[in-house]
Amino acid sequence: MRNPFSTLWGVDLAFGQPGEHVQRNTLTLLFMISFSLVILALNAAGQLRWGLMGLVGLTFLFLLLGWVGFYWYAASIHFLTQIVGIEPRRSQPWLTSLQGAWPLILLGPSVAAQKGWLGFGRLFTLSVLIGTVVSLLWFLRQAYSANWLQTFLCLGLTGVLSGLALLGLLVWPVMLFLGTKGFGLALSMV
Amino acid sequence: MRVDRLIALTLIVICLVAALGNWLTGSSSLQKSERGKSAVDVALIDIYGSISDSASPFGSSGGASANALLDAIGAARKDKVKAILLRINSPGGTAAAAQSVYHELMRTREETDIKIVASLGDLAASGGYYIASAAHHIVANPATLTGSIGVIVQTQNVALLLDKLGIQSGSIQSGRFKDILSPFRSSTEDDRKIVQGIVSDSYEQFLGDIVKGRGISLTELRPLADGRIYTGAQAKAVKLVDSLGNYRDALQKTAELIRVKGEPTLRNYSARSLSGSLLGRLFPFLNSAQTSFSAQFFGQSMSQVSLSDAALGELDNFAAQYRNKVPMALME
Repeated sequence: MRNPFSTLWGVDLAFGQPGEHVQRNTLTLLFMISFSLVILALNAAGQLRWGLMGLVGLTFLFLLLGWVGFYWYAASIHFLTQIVGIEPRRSQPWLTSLQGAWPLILLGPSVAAQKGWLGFGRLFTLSVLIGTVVSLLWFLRQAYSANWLQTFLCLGLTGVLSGLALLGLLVWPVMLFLGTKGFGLALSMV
Repeated sequence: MRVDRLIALTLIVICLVAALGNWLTGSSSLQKSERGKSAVDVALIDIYGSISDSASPFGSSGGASANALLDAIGAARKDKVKAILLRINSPGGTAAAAQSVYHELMRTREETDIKIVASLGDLAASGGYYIASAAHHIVANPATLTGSIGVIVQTQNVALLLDKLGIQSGSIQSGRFKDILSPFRSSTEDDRKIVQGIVSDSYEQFLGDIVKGRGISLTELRPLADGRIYTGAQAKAVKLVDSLGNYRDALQKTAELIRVKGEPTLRNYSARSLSGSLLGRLFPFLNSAQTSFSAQFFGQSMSQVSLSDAALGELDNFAAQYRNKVPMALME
């Protein structure tokens, strides 16, 4: 399985090779992820019926938060594989694992299809989403020496950990505030 | 180019074009397809900010675009909604823009069974009220500011200021009235007669339309239409609005008019701009100009308005009169 961006720029999954090839792969991946996020932003702006300013704002937001999300995804996957003891197959496994998100670009045509043929469009969209998960799993297997079950568990646990991390992030300031007697603010408020 | 690369490039281009199409066409077609399953009872149309004839099909960033409003009304008619609920919070706008929206609503009233209800927010003055008068029923909060029925063309003469700065201005023109209302000279008596004619004609059209929309007589309306503003409660007493209440009450009234039990299904048909959208709500400073305008009428909020906001509002009003270098009749 090759993503269309790899095909277009004539790069392959040999991320282990040093030099210019790795750099070109990295650039291709950066472009691919950003392109997917732009497609999502265009769809979202259409759904919300936002104008040009809205689209620009949404694109920046999606790119920023999308990249933060992908960073978390790659880091979490790598962390989990380290814990389980799964060895990476390549020197930059995160690059390979992120390539799995490429089917997201198909959400452009799938949402467009919903306008003409609602049933088909919805099925297409669902297929793209399922396809993205499968693609993520497939590329994870390319990046790490893991079987399907281990790969699936890593992906699932990443989702759970993301939720818990978000909860922790929200709760920590509250814990600090209460644990330090509200930095003295609580007393003055009373 | 190799075949596989050609296929990849085609795929990427198709995806990009499709996504661009999704953005440009919005979700209207999708909503239309879904209508078969769940028909919409009420089309909500927001009219926020100054009303003008903006060319942008994507909505205006600084107020309500008449073209976008016409599109929204057209889409609601196409979707065969039972009612249109106008949510108005506007100080007015240009005469032609407000009039065009009014006429489209009146045409909808005449040609279809669609009921139109207007819910007035902080402010529905002048052009904002002009549009509201096309509704079957107007609901206002008791403290809503409305009325201001009239037309104004403001003039400025900065010739003395330019003299002090040592700047001389002049014009080469094809006719004696081509520089009418120029801020660089005093208006002549003939200028004033022409502009007064424009203002009076626009005003009579305004009154005629309110009479038609509200079903009151011209003799009843004229004493009320001297440009004064009313609170919602005062406007109710003089029959400029039909009932007092908030947006929820207006929605309930709409349900009553279309004989829907419980909450009617609602869809927002407004073309949303950044300042009127979710981001606008998250970052209220994007709506500062609108807020400062309302705040000037509410003494308790005046202290919260920065001087620069108020000054900017004045400058904006001044600039609005000279869009495209042509003085405009304003309903503000």
